[in-house]
Amino acid sequence: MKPFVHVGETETTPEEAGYRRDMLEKLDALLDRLVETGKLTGASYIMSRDGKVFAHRAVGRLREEPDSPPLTTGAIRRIASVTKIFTAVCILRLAEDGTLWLDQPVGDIIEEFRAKPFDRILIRHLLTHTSGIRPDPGYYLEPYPVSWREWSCAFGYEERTAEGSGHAGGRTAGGKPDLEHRSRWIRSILAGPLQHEPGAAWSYSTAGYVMLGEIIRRVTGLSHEEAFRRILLDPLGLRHTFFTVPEELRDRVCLINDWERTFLLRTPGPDEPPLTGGGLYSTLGDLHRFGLMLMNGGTWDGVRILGRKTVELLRRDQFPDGIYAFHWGERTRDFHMGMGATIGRAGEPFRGTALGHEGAGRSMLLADPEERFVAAWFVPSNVDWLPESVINVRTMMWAGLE
Amino acid sequence: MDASRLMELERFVAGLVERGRLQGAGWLVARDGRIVAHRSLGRRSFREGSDELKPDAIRPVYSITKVFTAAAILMLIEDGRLYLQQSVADWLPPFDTPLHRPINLWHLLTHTSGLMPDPGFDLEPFARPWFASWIRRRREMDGSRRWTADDDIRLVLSGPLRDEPGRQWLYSTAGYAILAEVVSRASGMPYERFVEERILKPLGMNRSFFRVPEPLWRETCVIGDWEEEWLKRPAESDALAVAGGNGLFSTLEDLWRFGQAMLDGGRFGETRLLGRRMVREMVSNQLKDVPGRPWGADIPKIECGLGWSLHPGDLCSPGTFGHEGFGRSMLFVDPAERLVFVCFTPTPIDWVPEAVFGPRNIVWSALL
Repeated sequence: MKPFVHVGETETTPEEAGYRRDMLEKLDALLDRLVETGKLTGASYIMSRDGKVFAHRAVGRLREEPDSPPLTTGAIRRIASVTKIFTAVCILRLAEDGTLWLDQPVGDIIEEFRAKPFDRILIRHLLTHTSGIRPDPGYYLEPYPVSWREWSCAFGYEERTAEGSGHAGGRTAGGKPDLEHRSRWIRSILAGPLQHEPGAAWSYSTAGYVMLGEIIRRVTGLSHEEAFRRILLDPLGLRHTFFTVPEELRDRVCLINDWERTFLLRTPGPDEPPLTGGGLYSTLGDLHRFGLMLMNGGTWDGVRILGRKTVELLRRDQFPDGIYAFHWGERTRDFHMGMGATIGRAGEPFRGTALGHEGAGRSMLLADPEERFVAAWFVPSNVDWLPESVINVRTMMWAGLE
Repeated sequence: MDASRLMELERFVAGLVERGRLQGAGWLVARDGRIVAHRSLGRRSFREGSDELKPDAIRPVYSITKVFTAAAILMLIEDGRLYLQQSVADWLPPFDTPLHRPINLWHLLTHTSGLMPDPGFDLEPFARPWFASWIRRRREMDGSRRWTADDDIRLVLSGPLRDEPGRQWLYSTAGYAILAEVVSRASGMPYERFVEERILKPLGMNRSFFRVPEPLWRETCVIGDWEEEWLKRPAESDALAVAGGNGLFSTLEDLWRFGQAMLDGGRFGETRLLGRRMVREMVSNQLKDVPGRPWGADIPKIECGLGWSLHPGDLCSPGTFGHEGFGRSMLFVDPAERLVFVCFTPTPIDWVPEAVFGPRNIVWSALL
């Protein structure tokens, strides 16, 4: 049975946008094939040139059940690690405002980092995944990874405890977050030695981006949700980007397994780790608008989020000579990354001009200031790793530029 | 361009032919998409009483075939059939071993798979046989009915790897035969047909073939008996696509069309071969701190594109890409100067360096 296809709104044609129509046909054929063979539950994308959308399409289902409603281009989806580039933008904005600086020791803000060897970790290291703290489970292909769940269990930070060690100043009264409880999750992430010296290697760490969220909380005095809203989401008009999806919008969320359903319904406490490493939900439209801001030097539609130099920094290769990365077994010495953004590597046609991020589950946003090109896509899948839906798609998207 | 410098090129190669260093020479220079020189001199065949080498003569271009194989792989990537980091084992079952599974398409394209380099690469005193003749002999021994392309592949993979994938630049024509086999399997048509239908025909490369039709044999430049045998060889339908490393016959003008398409961001006139950003990546350096010791040289950091060699040196602008083929043929593209240079210097002499570097430097010296 042919999967359902939904075509979203466009503002111009591929020809007007300088884009190869034959590549769009090939891209649709690939995505349709992945949906038809059950590797993806659905696939949706949006692409624009010079701010004008010329391709906007969804295929497949919103949920994993066979009788699910169709996936549409307006669906809400957990964007997982794409959250990290939003977090990086917030941190860079705080740096622009003079609130913090990138070579600042994290210990200035989070006192658990004042202990050796964490005292040498700078904010820059967290942004570029070089701090050495707690790489993601499975990153080193360890046969028995410590899942986030096991980690929580071992350190018990999901449970509020009445008794604490008092390490971070004990408890506070009056319904304010429990500092001892907060210190407990920070110490649990830091437990054990560093994986490597800060700056010595690239080891993908969602925990590092959770720490950046804690930095945002502490320097702004706001919850991470509120800080994101004030710095970024409200000014840019991203009305469907949330850490917690409002109840009335939950039937628009694309969900493809039980874990995702549980995650949607959870209500995290104010002193739990901020979900700035992967907790945002968004839509193609919002991701695209965020991408337009990045594509256009930090300002879009009259709204300034970042300065031109700040977006340049976000995109600028932090490892021009390459850095060692174990990278799930690849052991490359030629890894590259911007100040919080994915910028591509050898063999990736988008490298050298684009910036963005990929998310588990899966999704991606890429913005290319030189080509004036923005692309965002959702490829929800329960298959463990489906490079066709990510690597092929972005390669084909850049191959389509006339 | 300086016409007197282009005449100097003619005097230079005529001297090499007179001294018996070359059997003949043909060249084509194009600037801004227009051909400014297209000439030839010397003899077409090594045989006594040969006719003269014409500018449109067909010539085996050997390793220049590799850039066509690389383009075919990238076209299949555009089709959504492959991706660069894909394990070769996804397509070729003999690669599904703990040793070979880490080898991906990018490794083969950049000569970093660790597979056997070409015989003589290490200046080893006793070279292994050329993989294609090894395969041919093995097939004769066994009878081609029982012996399959996968058996050919196992032969290419036999023995340990020379190095771990990604560690060392080891120029491997066999690796390109493997890539051609991936083209066959991913496209569902034989490699040769894929290249003909998707590259040669659309670009109007009407005198380029994997098998030269018999009426054109007497327009094909040959430098020895063995090459004439190769020209007239019979087809082997179920074998590994060995042609992917060195099997193309072409002409100066046809190679120019391909080079011009690369210079013009993947299109030639109205024909789109590859996306502009795809071509840009194809001619960008892929390697970081990868050493190579080709034919006695010792290069601590080799740079190469996807199928293309980079930075030929001397007078070429940085960013110049190209490829050379045995016996000898050259295709160079200088994007900074919008220049395409194709040259055939057929000779039975193994290595005539002045015929490789001289013509190129003279052409670049003609840039005003």
